[in-house]
Amino acid sequence: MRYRSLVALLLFACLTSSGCAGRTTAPATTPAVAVAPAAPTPGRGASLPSGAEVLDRYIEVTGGKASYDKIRTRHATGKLTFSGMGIEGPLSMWQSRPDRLRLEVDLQGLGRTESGSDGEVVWENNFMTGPRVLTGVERAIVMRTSSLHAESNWRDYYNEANCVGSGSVDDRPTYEVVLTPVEGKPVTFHFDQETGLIAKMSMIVESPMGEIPTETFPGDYREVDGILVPFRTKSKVLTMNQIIQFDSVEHNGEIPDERFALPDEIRALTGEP
Amino acid sequence: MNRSAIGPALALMLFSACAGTSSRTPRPLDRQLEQTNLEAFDSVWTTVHDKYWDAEFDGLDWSAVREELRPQAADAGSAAELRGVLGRMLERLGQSHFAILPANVYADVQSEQDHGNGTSGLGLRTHDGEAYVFSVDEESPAAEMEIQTGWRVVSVDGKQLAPVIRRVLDQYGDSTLGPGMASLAAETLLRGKVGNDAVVEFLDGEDVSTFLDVPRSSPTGTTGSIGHLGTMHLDFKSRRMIDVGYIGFNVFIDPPRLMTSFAEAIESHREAKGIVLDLRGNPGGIVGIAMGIGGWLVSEPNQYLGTMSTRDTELRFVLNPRRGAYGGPLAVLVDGRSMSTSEILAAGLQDLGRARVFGSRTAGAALPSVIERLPGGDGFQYAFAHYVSRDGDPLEGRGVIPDVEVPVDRKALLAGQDPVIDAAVAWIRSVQSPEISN
Repeated sequence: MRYRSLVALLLFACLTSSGCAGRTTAPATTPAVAVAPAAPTPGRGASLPSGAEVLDRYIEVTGGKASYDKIRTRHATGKLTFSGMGIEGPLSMWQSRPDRLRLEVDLQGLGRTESGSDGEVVWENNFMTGPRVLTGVERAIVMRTSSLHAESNWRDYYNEANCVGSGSVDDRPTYEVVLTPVEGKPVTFHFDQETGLIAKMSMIVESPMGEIPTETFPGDYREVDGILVPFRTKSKVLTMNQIIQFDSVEHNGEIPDERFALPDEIRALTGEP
Repeated sequence: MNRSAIGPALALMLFSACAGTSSRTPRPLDRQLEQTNLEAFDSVWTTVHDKYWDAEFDGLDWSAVREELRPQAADAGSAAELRGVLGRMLERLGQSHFAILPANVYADVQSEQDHGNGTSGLGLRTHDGEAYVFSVDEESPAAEMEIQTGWRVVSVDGKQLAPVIRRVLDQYGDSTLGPGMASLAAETLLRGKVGNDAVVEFLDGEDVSTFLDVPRSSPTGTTGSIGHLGTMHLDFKSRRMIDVGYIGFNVFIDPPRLMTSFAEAIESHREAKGIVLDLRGNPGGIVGIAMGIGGWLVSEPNQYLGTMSTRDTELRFVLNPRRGAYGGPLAVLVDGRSMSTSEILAAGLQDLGRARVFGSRTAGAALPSVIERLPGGDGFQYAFAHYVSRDGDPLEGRGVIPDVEVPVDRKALLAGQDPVIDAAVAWIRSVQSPEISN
């Protein structure tokens, strides 16, 4: 391969790593097996369900709010792969109610990135660009996407949910629901009309580098403790395709507080002792 | 065969020939060539159509270009003719560094992965169509053989370098890429399998011809592997030149090692009067490393090196100021072999007023681009994003213009001097009361 091919490929690997992968979102606890009856597919001119109806059905088919409410912690391990480039590495994620997060990714040949939230401070320690504290919209996005209850308590995180139309993902009919978060740009969810599951999410990741459009496709749903969890998430970030494949998801295990404690480099930035 | 038989046979042959011309029904061999031509044309056109950063093509009707030129590509009778058609198509974009490289030039500039990773330890640069030894790796067999900087390299393994250099320079014309690619082509000939000697003809300082068997050895430095890109070598150097720190590395790869080494180097030079950051010969690599290095050299937030645009987004290469960033005088060294990420870092620091740049104009190859092989063997180089420096200047085709131009001087090289470093150090020492961040 010519050298500049390397440059080009790694440029985007880097952008992805520093812009998004470091803040890989917790997999949307997507609905799984069709627990609830399938919603009728609207014909031409048929009225659309409301955004709230689609979202509430999603909660129902993925296990129901009662099941979500039982989840206190989550520990997931797996692999992050940049498909086509042969770059991959182990990924570990810890979450705890309400919004504590620790994410670690170690990409072969590129290095380690850690990120997290102790419920107040949202941070990232990138192997290239170093430690930093996220603020503003960036912080809000991580707080929202790392919450264990972002789906079941979606009304706490979004001001509006509007079903704006129908479409298709992989030739399956979908409802397109635009959610307007309390902070940040609207996110479009594409719900499978038959199963009620999320087939696709389109959002703009806001970072110091700029606004990065991303598309995420959850899949490989498996039931864990009454909740359907997508074990595989494919994402398109710029020209890069990344895949997160979990091999293990555990709920309600004990996670010591130290796991969510701020690293020394971050404490140095926040001035905390 | 009697005459009556010859007549119809000739007539049939003539008819066939005419029919092939007038009705454009190609013979099997023509059809094969036409198919190859069209595959190459379609590959180039589609790649630009799908990946060019400006979806509007700045008002150019890209589909009309296809309609106009595709028949000409089909009719091209040779690889050279096809290159002419493809070249005319790419010229319509009005951008540099969209190029069709003839198969032999493509081979000239192939990387070590195609030739083997054995290196002679000699760095070459070209001047007036000739190649000269610009650097000798201290740990290489070439250093033990006392090969000197400034020696002219006439041939490698019997292959004359001058025609290779001329061919590459002719191909790149007035492009800023020419000098860098010419020296790269010359240096490529020195590469090969580890353990295989290169038979090199030198002209020494007295212009006396000398043939030497120069061993090809494993590259110095550490090795790292990234995905399908295979194993690469990072050669990081940090030393003190009395009161001035020197940091240099050959490529922006292996972030864990490079960023750790850079942080340690900054710490070790904290009390230095200034730092020289040598990016000469550095072809670039991971742009995030440039952002990371920049973070060690600025102390104010919200600064960035430049902006890259694709069809979907616009990204600023932001700097995250590190605690303990170095604030003293900074000189960045560049030359025609400084490419891509090297240019982004040098231009960004220059635009920010953070560094003074010394050396010669860089390659002007800052865009993320690739070279792909076309059906038929030629190479197609194209960029898929646009980049402008902090001040809004495109680097592509322009390069970084040093604040202090210091050309390669054979006389100085023969004397064992490095006039670019000398100029940078002299400037650092002239700066009064440098602000040094702790």
